[in-house]
Amino acid sequence: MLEKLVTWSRVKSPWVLHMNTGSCNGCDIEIIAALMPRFDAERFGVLLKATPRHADVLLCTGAVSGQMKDRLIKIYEQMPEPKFVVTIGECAISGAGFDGAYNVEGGIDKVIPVNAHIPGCPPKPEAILDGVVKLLTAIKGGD
Amino acid sequence: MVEEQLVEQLTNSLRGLQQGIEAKMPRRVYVDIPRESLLDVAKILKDDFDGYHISTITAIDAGENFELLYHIIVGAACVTLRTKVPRNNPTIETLTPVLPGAVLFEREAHDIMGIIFKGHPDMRVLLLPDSWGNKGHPLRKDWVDPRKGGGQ
Amino acid sequence: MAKLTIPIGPQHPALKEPEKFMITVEGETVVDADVRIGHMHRGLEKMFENRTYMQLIHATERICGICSFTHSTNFCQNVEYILGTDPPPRGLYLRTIMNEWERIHSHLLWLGIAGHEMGFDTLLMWSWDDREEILNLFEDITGNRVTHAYNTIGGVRRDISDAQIQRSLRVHDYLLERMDAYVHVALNEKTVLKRTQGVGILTTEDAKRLCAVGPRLRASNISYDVRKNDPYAAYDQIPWEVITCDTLDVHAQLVVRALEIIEAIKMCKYMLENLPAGDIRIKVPRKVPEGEAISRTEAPRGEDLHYLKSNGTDKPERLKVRAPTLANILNVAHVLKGANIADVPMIVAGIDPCMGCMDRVLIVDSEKETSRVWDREQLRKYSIDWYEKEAFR
Repeated sequence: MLEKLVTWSRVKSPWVLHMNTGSCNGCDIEIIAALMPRFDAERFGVLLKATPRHADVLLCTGAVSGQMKDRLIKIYEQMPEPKFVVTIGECAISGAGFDGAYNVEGGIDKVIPVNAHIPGCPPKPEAILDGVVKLLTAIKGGD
Repeated sequence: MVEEQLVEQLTNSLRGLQQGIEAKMPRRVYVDIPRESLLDVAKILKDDFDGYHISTITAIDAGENFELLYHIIVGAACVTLRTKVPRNNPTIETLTPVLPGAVLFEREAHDIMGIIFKGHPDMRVLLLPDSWGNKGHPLRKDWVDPRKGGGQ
Repeated sequence: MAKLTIPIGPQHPALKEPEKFMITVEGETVVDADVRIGHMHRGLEKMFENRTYMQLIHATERICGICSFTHSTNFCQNVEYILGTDPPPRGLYLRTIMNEWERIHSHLLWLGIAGHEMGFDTLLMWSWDDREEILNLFEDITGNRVTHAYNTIGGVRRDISDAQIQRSLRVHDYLLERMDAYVHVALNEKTVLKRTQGVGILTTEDAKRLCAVGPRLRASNISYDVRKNDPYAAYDQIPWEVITCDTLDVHAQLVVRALEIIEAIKMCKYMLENLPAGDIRIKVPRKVPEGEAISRTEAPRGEDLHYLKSNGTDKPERLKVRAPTLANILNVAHVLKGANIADVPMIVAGIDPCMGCMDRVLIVDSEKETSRVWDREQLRKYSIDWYEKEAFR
């Protein structure tokens, strides 16, 4: 019963932390745009948080740069269980155009486990919303 | 127009400090200088031509030498001071006493190309990660990524 | 009094680019500020040397997601300079229109973030909502909202139809009307004035000395704009004014940016109404002859400089990029010294000193020169103890 309540509240108000791990800002402004009045992700209860300790979902943008790698692991470890990681944009998935550059480690999944990928360069706010809704559906299904 | 005028004025003011001077395009002037006279030329540009704004420093690996291009804005034109430092001794006087705005660009050139700026106030790593260590200077043409078997 | 060094960044939701500021405070006053960048350094300049010119149009757009069009304009211009070709007038006009739209969307974005930093979230919501209108135009004409893939060497890739021009003009009229409200807010709203007036003053001499660029330079009362002083694309063919402000503070930047949006809207309207007929691009060879060129553009954040050296193949020898933010970091670090810690977010506009999100604080004892690392709980305890002592003194 309690578990059901916890899952329900988690699905109804996922708090997200946005982290730029070395992206070009394109995906970052689209995330913010998704939260702004035109697309309004906040109506699904999505709330942008400032600290990893309050966050359920980590939104990562960009290929992992050498300097951000340790920071990303640190932020991931600070998040309370259960935690979910969503990558936004092509670079976060595989490194895309930046793969092979000397200060790029590759996609996010080389550093921390990832739950969902949202492709696009950058993905439109609609796509980000769709990805978030799909993740929430998966959580609801008892994942 | 503006570049031809500038070439004429610069030729008069520099009085032989330059090795060559040309205007390749509208509003783009290139001045070749030896590395010893960089500070003097920059000072003349700043005092006589109001060239207080340094846009950036480009470091190029040109085989035996490293080319350093100082892009200084003089009015509408961009004056590029081109100087060469040898590969086995890549040192040059810092430009920061004349143009304090060059501080970050010199740190950047140090990071990526390994140019040493003598007298620079703060030569810490700017762009490369803290964990970079002594993996070398990546913009050099002979640099190979340690992940691909390179290493210095 | 012990000096306290507070790291701000690199990770923060309001922070668009991860930069780390080390702020040393004495009480409430910032005595020293140091900046560590490079968190997003990916090694692009090395990568550029292994890409063909056609791939590089794509790659340069991804230097920055907000001023993507400026970077690709810069790159295409450089190749055109070396090739010695001129894009047709219609192509140049379309390029200029896109550059100005980018300025409008970027300045509206900044306006929102500035509003957020000063605790005026209504402004954030409004300006980001209006920004969507410009993004819709981008999507209408280029096919994408943020990275447009619209520029190409020798012109632009898609033409604009009469119906699209009419649609765009309607949006411009709407935005012009909205801008009246924003200017009214910027000049009269109490929250805005309290948080920005007299904050972060950069004198004209310091702006010159530290090589400030863009709106920061013009807010320091220096009339320098690459579009005017070193015109590119079609900027020398259209009427417009350089905006400056003489109050030197953050409010001046707000005013400069707000007025620049209005100026940009008027420019775009003029260009759309007087769009020359003809081709939008010319064919260029795949290989670029040996040569070098410097291209400068006025990005929304300031002067953006690319240097391109080609070696006769289809790949460049060296492509150097100096984005405007690197030039402006120096003066931010300078202005922070002596500021109140509460003004730091406004000065670094976009960086919020959210101590809650920092997990540790580095204490540098100025007398013993030792540093201790504290976690947040210890810092909290320290601050409570300190205030208790103060109260009983």
